[in-house]
Amino acid sequence: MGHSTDDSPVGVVVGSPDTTTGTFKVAVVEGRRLQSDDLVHVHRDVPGEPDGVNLYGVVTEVSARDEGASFASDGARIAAGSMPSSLVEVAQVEVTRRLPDVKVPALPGLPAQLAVGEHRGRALRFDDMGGFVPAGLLSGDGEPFYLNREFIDGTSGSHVNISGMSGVATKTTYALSLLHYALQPATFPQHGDNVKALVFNVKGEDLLFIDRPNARLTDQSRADHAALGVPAHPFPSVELWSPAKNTPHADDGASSAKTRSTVVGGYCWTLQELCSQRLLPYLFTEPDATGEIWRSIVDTSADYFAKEAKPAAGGSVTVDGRVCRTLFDLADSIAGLVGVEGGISADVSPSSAGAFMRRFRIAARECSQVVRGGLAVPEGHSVAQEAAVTVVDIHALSAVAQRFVVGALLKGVMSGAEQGDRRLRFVVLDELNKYAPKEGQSPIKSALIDIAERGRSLGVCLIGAQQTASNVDERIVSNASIKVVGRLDRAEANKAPYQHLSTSQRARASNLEKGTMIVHQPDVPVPQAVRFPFPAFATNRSESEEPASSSAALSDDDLFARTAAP
Amino acid sequence: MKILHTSDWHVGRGIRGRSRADEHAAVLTEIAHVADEEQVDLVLVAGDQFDVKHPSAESERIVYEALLRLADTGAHVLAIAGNHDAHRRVAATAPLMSRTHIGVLSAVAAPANGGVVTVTARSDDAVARVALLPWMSRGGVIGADDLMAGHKADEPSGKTSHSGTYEEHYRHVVGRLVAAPQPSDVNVVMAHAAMKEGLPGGGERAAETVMEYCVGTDVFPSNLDYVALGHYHRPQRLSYACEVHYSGAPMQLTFGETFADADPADAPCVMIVEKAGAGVPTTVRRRPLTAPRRLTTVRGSYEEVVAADPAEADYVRIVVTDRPPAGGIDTLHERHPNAVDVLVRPTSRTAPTHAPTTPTRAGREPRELFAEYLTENDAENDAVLALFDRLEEQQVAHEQETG
Repeated sequence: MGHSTDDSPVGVVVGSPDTTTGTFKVAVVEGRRLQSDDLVHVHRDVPGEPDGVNLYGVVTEVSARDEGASFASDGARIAAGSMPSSLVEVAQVEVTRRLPDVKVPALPGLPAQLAVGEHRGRALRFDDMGGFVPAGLLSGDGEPFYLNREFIDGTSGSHVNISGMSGVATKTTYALSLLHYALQPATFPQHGDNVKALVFNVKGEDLLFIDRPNARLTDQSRADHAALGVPAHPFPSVELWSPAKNTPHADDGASSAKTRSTVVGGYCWTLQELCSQRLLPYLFTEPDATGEIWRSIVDTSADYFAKEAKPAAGGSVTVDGRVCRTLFDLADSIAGLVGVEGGISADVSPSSAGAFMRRFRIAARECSQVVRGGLAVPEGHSVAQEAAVTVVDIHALSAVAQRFVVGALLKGVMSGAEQGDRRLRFVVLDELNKYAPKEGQSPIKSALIDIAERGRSLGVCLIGAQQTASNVDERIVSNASIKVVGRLDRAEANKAPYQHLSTSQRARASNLEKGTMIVHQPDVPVPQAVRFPFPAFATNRSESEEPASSSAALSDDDLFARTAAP
Repeated sequence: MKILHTSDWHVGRGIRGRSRADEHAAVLTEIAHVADEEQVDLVLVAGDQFDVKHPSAESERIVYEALLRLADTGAHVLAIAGNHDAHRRVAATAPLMSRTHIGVLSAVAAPANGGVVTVTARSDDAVARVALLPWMSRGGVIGADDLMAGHKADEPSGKTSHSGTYEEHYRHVVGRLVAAPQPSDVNVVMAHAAMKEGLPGGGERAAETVMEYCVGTDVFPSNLDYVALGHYHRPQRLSYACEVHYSGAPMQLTFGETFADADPADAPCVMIVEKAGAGVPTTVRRRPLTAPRRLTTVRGSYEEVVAADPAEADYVRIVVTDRPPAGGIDTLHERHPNAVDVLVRPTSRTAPTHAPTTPTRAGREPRELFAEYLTENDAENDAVLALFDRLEEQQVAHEQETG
């Protein structure tokens, strides 16, 4: 991966076509090599600058040609030696920085060096950054690549957006790796151990294992971790939550997770919490449930419950004297009041009122597992978020219930921050196109846009991911300071949200290997191809080491001897 | 590392002339049992151990025995002086205390002079660095700054540079004490202060909760692992970038402190704070106390209060809202031997405010508050007012002299 430590020039700046302030070409010197993503450095004298000007750039394309050949058949003649030619490799370089910033082009004929050490840091603007968040190793030279900390903790910007095809783009693994690097104590010393993260698990029960070491960790990965300055061990402080079981007998609300059931907590919201925290709007999140009349009925009903619902035992509520233990009960409690004189939203038509009640009952059915009353121990089911990383599993819920859980938790995060809890908080959410699609309105979409627009000053950093950024509301993608792209569908790569990539990078994106991402940060004008180490935490059950159980270690005889006869 | 946080014991405070010494002793014994049961490494006592600056011998016995019992559990004990404590008395006991692993700080001091204490956990060798901020009176603020800068008493301290508000000085002092917290240590601050975001319980001295003494939570750096506060009697968590809590008083101190009725979670308790290791955020839980007695108010017409049946263990205040018949007060006392106070407040007159609420008292002069108190209790007296004025003058002069 690395180049030789040869100090001699790697190439010579080419004069034809013209060099410009933004680009130049370098003819590779015989015996040396240049590849895409390499960083080069050219020093030139400039009148008025006693120390000259250093130009730094990144190789975006390398081409080779037989100079002298004009026809395809010349190739064979040249190879046979019957025709003279020069074989030359030429690298296209895009300028990333000039130090001092005198906007002059590279001069043809000047030697170009590989940018290493201090020069490499200057090329990537590391010398300008107030603090560093590790983000992987540069594809080109395998050396560490860092993000400017101020574009993650909200000082100058916030939010990370990751695009890529499911299954190949390793979006979730990269998001979690970034989180892992961000949670190292050295990354945000001004926040100490108070940084927290909320991660939503949307596929299988994969993310319920991130506190376990990855059984497939390789020595190469260990070396990569060491190079990045990050310890190669799993997340030390993780809290796991799955929806509470909702079978008639299990009223103690154990979690419904199939794996690791002893360590995964069962979450649900009580009817009391739904009413007092005004979470009713998050039951009505269908894209077509929009419009002023609709929102007004929902909001007025939420106000009604906030005022009229009195706490009852087990997290239930009493509304107007009747006890409500389920969402159906709650719907029934206002069925006669919506659209009725002296009731809720008296001015709406009977058909709107009917539509609202139908929707309410649909939501009651879909969300019966996550919003309940009549619990034996109502206090134990709230997602406490005491650990550094809280994983909330929503994969087995219906779409309506998933949106409720995400909406309710996002609301909690923002309210806490507004009330003064300004600790740095990460929220990792995949499938943004489901929660904040381009078209339509919903409370969840509003919550996400709110985070994208305001979260930065409240200490909330959204690490969002989607297959196609073109299907996500533009406000969320554009407000992300850090834009990351994994393997992209070719048609997608040419759409609007990827304009920050160069043409060659867009073509490259449809061919990226697993574990390589193209990362853009505000400081550096050219996005960088970065590969990240195989994670040290398990990203699914098969990667998590089985703990040594005493039974597994026994021989057959002993094992069966242990098993008592009935 | 495991920490127990308690404060505002106010030993010596009785109720309507009756001593609560036995109750105080029982509550403090319970706290020591909790410390032992939880096997805490460190106990933080955040000020106002005493109720008055000249406590009785009995109060002193109770407090010192409590501190010793806490130290006997094997934990390190750190205590600071609050606004009710006499700083110099507290300072006088410090050398004795230090022999038994009890650290006591009476006034803000530079890190090298006791302002920051390092404690090692007995369970896992974790190290806690505790910055101590006893109550800083306004008169003492200039002194604290000079202390930090190491000015000698007779050197000019450049008073023009200290013309900022109390809050600015506070932030300055905190900054010196918490300079460069170590990431591997447990970084703790213990302070006796009135935070802007906090809610008083009701029994705090009004003059010391006024706006001038209020400080915002942002005076504390956000990378601390725990901030243990004392002064407000209501247990509460302040919303901030790190865990900031008032432990509250371990028992209800005045009839006005009714917050536990509104929310049972706010009943008297101690905070158990755990920091499991580097990279793991701090967790805080409340451990309720069972020994304290409740102070309940029974309010109603004469018929209603005669028939009322408050819990036998409680201290009861009876407020009669109509005029009782002749001999009625005696009947009430017989019927409720636990009643410590019987007030007749017919509802035709304006009812007295039964708890000093900060919004109405903040920013007002002590003299005005005292005059109002006399009026409310039908005890207007010019001679008493004049005496108050004289005493206040003396007190202020005394404080400014001694800092």
